[in-house]
Amino acid sequence: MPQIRIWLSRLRDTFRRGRLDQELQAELDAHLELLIEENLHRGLSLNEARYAALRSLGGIEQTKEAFRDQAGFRWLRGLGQDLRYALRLLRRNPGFTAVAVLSLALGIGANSAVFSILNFAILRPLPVSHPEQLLTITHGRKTGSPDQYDANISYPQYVDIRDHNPVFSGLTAFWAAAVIYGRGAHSQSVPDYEVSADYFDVLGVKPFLGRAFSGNEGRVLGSDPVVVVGYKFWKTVLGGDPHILGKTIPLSGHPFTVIGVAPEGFIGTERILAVDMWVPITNHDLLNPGSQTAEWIGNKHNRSFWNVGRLKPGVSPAAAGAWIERWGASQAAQDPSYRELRYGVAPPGLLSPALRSAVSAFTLMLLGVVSLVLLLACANIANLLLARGVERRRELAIRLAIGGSRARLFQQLLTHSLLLSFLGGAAGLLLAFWLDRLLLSLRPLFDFPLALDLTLDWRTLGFAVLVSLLTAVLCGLIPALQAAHADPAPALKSAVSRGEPRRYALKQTLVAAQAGLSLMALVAAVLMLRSLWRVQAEGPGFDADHVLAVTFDLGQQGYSEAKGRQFYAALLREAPQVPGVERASLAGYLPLSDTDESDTEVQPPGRPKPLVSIVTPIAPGYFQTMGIPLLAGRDFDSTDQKDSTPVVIINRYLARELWPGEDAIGKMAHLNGTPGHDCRVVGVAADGKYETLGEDATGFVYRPATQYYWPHINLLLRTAGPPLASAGAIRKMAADLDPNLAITGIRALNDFVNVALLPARLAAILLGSLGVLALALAAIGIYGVVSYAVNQRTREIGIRMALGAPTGNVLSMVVRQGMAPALIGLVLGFGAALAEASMLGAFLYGIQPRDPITFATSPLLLLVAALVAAYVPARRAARVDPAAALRWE
Amino acid sequence: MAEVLQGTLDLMVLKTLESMGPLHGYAIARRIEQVSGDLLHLNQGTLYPALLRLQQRGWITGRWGTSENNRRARFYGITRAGCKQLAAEAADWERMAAIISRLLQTPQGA
Repeated sequence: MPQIRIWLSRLRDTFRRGRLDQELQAELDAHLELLIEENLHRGLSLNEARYAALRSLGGIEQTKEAFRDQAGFRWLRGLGQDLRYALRLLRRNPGFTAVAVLSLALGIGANSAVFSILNFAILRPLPVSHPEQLLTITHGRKTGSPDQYDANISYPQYVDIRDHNPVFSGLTAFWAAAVIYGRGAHSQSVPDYEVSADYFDVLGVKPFLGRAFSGNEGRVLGSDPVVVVGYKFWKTVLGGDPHILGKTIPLSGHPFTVIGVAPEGFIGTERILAVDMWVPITNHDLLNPGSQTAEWIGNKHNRSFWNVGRLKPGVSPAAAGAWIERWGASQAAQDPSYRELRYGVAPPGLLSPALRSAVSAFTLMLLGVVSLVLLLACANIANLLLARGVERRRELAIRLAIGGSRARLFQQLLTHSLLLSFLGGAAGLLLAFWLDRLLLSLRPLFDFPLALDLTLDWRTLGFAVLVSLLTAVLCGLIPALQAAHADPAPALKSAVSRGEPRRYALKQTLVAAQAGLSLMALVAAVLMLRSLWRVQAEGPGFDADHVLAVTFDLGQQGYSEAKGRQFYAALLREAPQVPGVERASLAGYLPLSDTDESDTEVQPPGRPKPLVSIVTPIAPGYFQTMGIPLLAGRDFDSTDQKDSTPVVIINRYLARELWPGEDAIGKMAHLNGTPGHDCRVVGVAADGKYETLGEDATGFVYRPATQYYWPHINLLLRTAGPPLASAGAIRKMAADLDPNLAITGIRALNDFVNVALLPARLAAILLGSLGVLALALAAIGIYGVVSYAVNQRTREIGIRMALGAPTGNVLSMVVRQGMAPALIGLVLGFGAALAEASMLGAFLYGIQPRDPITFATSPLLLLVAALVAAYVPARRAARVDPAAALRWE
Repeated sequence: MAEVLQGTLDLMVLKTLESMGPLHGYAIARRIEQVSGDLLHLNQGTLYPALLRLQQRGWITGRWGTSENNRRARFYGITRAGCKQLAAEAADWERMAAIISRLLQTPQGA
């Protein structure tokens, strides 16, 4: 304790040095006066008295120095001095400062922006109590990696695990949906979770107002319709009504009683999905009329429920995972359909391990590339500082010669680079803030209650500070050591430093490193760009131009299946009459959209293993409307009715997988999962992209909507003009058919394709600009080193020219010397880039990681940039006037 | 004349202030020299860093006042913590002195 007090008082004294100095002077004056008086009393003359007094007081200046040392921390005072000095230096060289701060800002800013994404998606804890105890149960194919598992289970599985497991103290299941709040024209679609009764208890979330679910709520089908609303919804839509509890709000046409308001900031457990309401799953019937909730919940194959479990105290995630895996194996013993699957656990928060691993892999890859760019910037600044050190050689030598300490000099030089990197860091944070804003502005592209919260919290700030510190050390340490350890004697002897081999070698090493690093960044950029071009050239397998998709959710609006079928028929009859519409059809699942896909297992008789495929109902004319070529057989037509032979059209991939080398037309296949049917294949359609543009080929099954009813459907229209131009006429047509029916969405099909392309585009834009930046930084580095060499050798070049060396020789000599380190760096960087490319493999589409075009163009690009950067100063060297050069010095 | 032993100046200042009450720097120096019978040679300047150190440790406090010849001077007084410290250091010193003198009195060959 006392030690801290001493520190504090010394710290305080550090900052009131001026006053302490004055006080000491006054004290010493008084002391001297008294001594002189005493000496005069002894009978000394005035002069003698004064000298004697000064003698007994000892050296006044030494006393003051000792006093000052005692008064504060010398290094701290030194720091203040150094900061002022560094600021002066920065102000005096605005060009250098601007280049250095800007390149650091770009490097640190890009790093911080990427980190803030990682922070939001992976690092930040969930807003519930003890989030580290939460796990979600996942499943996937045994052959697949657990990173690609889905995080959902069926309701019977949920009940079974919840009631018979030794590892979780609680387990909740929930289903993401959207309800229609309000009535008629003022209604709006609100994202919600339909949850099991124990949802809030398992998460340990206490409602801000009211209570969580209790009694029969969430336990007994058809229990009282109640709802817990989100804080934001309560504040904005319900006006923050303090008496909201017990009131009813209309959800999908039914009154629901508000029993609670969730705490502020709670949006559920999936970070990127912001829901506004929690309804007991037992009210599913009310929100989705005619949905046969009992069957939906009771079907153990319907694995559509997300889940979160809380570990019992003392149970490790690994132990829980092992138990769940054993549970999955025991299921397989009872039911063969489990044999292909393996169950496990994963941290919750990002919908599924598949998305989590994709997001973290993508951001880590980005982080890797932006670190490369930061390293490049560091190398450049180190180079600039080295050159600066040469200019200040004489000054530093003088300071060393008159007794300045090397440590003090080193501290001062490092302060300089610290100041630089913190300026760069501050500007970088501004840039990161702006980049995050830019990312957030992309949000409206997604028709999804996306919660993207990229605020710069203390983690991101801490990261930026850390990166800045690291940067300062990286770019300042070597130049500072170099300068502080220089031998003052030779520097003082002559103003012009002749050949300083060690320093020049250091600069050349830095240039080699820069060339290597920027080749790595370039290769990443070119690979990504080529991949994007490939994806765009290949296309999604359908013609999205001029197609409008109009979405209806009949189930939510109380349509029975019979009424829905009539409505579909009416749509197909009326839509082609609308002006501007050329063709119309229906589809349950839209490729590349956010519609939930439905899987089915396709199994021809005699084939041991079924193949999992996506299945959707469509109406006749779908392939023409979507521009998908029908390769063999026929389209569905009016002869395919509810009671006629069940038929399917499959894609080419599925046809080849099921019947390799045979004609698929006329073959029979059994479809599991969907209402079971033995179907006859009547057509084969071309393959396409269904979930993502980068996916591998996958099976796809089309069934006639007459034989396979879905309560939600997309009306697809091929239009003559811009698709959205027909939207008004379509709305009117729908209102004529049913004035009470809400249209859930009207969008151009191209929007989906654009969203699907977004990650690839974003990566290509980001990496492309980083690549250009890297190229520029490397060129600046080479330019700097060659200019430096030319300046150093002006005299020598002058002598050579005076002796008759042709201009061409001088030019090529200087260029060769500048290119040598760049070439060495290129060779080393080529090897590193090969290794890097194989890590990028997961993000590439349609090209090999060791793409020959990339590995030919990138070094070439760099080579050209290096040549230009070396040529400019070399030309200056060739124009040296021998007479002037010789007289110089 | 003896030089001030390393580390003993603090002890001398504290003891002086305890027995004499608040004094200014000159008086402290004179008092120490007097008590030593002018046998101790004090480099009086070194007093001031020591006084600052003692203040920072909270053992003495300084206050501006007027000296006997009507000049502004800073008077130092010992604090309660300083008294405690003095007692501890004095005990230490006596113990050490006793040890040293016993050591020196050991007869040859014993």
